[in-house]
Amino acid sequence: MLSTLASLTFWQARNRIRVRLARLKQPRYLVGSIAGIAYIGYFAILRNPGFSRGRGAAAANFARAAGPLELGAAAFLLLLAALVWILPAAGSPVRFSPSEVQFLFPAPITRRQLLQYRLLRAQLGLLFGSAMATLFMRPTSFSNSWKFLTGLWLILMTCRIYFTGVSLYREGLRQRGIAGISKWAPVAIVCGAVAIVTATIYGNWSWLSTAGAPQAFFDGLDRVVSSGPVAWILWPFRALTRVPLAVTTTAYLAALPGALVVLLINYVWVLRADTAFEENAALIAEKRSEDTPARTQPRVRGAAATPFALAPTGRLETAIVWKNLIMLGRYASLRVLIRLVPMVISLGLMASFASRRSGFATVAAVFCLVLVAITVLVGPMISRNDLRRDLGNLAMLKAWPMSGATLLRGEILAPAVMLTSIAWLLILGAAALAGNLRVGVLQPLVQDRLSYMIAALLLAPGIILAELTVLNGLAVLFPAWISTGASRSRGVDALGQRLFTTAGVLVTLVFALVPASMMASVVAGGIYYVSGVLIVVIPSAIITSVLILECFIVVEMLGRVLDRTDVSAVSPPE
Amino acid sequence: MPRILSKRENGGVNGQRPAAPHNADASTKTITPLMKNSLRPKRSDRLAKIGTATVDDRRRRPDVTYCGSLSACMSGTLQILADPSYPLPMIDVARLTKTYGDFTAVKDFSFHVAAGEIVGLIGPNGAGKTSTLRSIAGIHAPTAGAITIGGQNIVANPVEAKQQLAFIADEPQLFEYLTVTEHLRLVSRIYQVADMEPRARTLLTELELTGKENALPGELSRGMKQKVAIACALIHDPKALLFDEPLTGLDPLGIRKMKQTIVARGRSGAAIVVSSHLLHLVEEICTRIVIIDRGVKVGDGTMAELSAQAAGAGSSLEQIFLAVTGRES
Repeated sequence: MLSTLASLTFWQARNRIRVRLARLKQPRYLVGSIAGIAYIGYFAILRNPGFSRGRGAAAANFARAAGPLELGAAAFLLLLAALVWILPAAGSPVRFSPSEVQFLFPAPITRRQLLQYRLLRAQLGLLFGSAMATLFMRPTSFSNSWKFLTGLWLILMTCRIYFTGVSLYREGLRQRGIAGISKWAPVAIVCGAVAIVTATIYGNWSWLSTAGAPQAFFDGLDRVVSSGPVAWILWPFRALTRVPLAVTTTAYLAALPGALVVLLINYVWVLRADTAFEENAALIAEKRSEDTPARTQPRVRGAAATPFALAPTGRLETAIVWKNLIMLGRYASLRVLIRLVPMVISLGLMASFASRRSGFATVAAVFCLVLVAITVLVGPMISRNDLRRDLGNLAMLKAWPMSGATLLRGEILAPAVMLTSIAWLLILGAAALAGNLRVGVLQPLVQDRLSYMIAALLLAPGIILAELTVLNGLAVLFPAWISTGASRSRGVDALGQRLFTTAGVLVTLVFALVPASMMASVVAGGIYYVSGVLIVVIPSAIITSVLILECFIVVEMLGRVLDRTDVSAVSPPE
Repeated sequence: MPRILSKRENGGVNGQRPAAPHNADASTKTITPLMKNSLRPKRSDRLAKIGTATVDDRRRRPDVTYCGSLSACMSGTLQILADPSYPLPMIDVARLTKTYGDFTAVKDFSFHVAAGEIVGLIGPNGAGKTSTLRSIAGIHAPTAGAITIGGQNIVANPVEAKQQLAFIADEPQLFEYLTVTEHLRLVSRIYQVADMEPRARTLLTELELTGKENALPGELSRGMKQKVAIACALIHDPKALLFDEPLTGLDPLGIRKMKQTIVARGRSGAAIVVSSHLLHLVEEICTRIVIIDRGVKVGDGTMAELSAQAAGAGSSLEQIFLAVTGRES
């Protein structure tokens, strides 16, 4: 039976490649693929010192860094292993596609075989990911990169099996209604392990920190973690990380058995965890099929709270904004906040170090300014509660009595409102906290911060709107390049298409800013010539006004294209 | 004042060919005796024919002697145009062709639906039913031909045409993050339904969705989702309704209610197209039936007409369908 399932995996991979090759008949996919391959070729191979001229130096650097890297990666894996138990449902559950559920679950196949099939199917993706990482992470040389590739694949494979095991264990407990010690024992064990490692390193920190050179520090650290209980705790993780970082073939072969043992232990554990609740596997799989992953399900809080009350009549754009703001609220949840935790912790640590010298208010002001830049420049690319997400519903939207331009205005306004609100709050925060900021030649910015605050408040919506217009314009003009809904396109052509999208956004934004900046410069120059005062508020207002006008004109033009767009031309991503 | 059909209303807009006379002879398909009898006359003939009949007669499509000359046709046409009581077809599909790449899904397909008519659109799998309905709904752009809803061309005046239309897809399409009430609120705003609240209450009761107002689509069964999609379609009281497999996923009670809903909408004057493989449903509720096969119209008429035309095939729609589509064997 397993051979049949292996054949199924092979057929799927073969047909996927076949579809991708057939897709190259369409110019956009062909261009995307060429761009993707060119990007990989240039940055990952030609510009990679590990594969080109600096091969010798790269190999020497790799040999020097291997030890500290092995230790750091092992510590990271330990932390990851603990977090999977701590974070709610962070472990990847066993998911089957709806067609797999329909065909395989009623078939005479044991649940264990299904699980093996699922793990087998995941290997192709993991191998591709390992290959890409090998290309980009610059190991030693092209001929030697097989060690890094296979070692990384082994780590990813073990991680996948471990995550599956965690998820199966949890589901098993949940299905059997078990709580108490059984539920919390694994959490206590992993937390205890992390605590022991941390306490040991902390206890030796005083003499470790006296080490002069980094190499001496890592040698000392290696001695600390290579004895006692810490050595036992870190052994499985170091056994895994030792393989890809092996400098010689002999070292690789020596490290391989340990890593395989870790992999085997995880595999046996997963199979044992599976048998604990075999009968419920179908139910779990069906509930969590790839089509409707539980973590992407929206939730209603309270009595179906909405951002504002939608009147039955009025402008149609308001209805689309209302709908898309609801979408944003429904998907924001504890899980989303948890994903932000690492970033918040990092920022907090940086703030605490920086605030020893500068004071909390100053540090907070700088963070606000950084976040303003991220919100304005990167926010439109990240937030997808607009046409990019709604392309999957295009058939429904096209049946509505609404022009393409109206629809597009509504779609763009929803994220624009959200991002502008965030940017405004951060700008106000930065202005309020920037009193003690010392920025050298830019000190006048702080002294006249009221003017600059108003200028920033005026500029932010214009730039956000322009960027969103470009991104939604790409969705209208090249709908097949846009990942609809929560799914994402994959493959080399998708990589090329994303490069085009990013480059297109930047180039178009620059072009949009040219006339606006020119007009603002003329006005600002004129006022300076007459009064001798350099003003920023009026030019900012001019820039935003011109950008909004440009966006309006472009949206009208794009709307006509959207009106003519045939839904059958919007091919869904794989 | 006489109502003069503009070029746009005749479909001759947007770079497309003007609506040619409805003539299934343009089809390349082999003409069977049944098909010959069911072919629609030319538009001028049809207008002249209708001009001498009462409204009820027109609905039943009686055999009326065609005009013998152009002047007689013109005379009849002018009579119709001058008659404000003459209802133009609410849905008029003229020589629709829809292709996907090299594949032709619908070819030279023409039919019309008057106000109050319930037309069943039937055909084998892949016959072109959904492509036709999606083209009428403005989701797919017709490759050739013209479609008008209440006199508004779906390509040239999409907003005006769609304002009168509702399309219920075979697979209920809902926003996964909106509750049932929010769907109704959103659609009401889109169609500018001022009295949304009472209409929504009535529909929720009629479709047995009471108690599910705050449920998300993910919490509803397929049948329930279908009911929500139908409630959204009916909230603006459309003059033209397109149902694509409306009974899929409904329980027996839901099926009965759905049939009642469709018939009630037809009686209240809506022009309805029902596409379904359930021939007994079509036979039961439809006033006229259009049969499509491989993208080409092969039958059009009332049950009595189709039965008479398919002499020897049998009296049930199933027998007629199998005979017409050549799948009897």
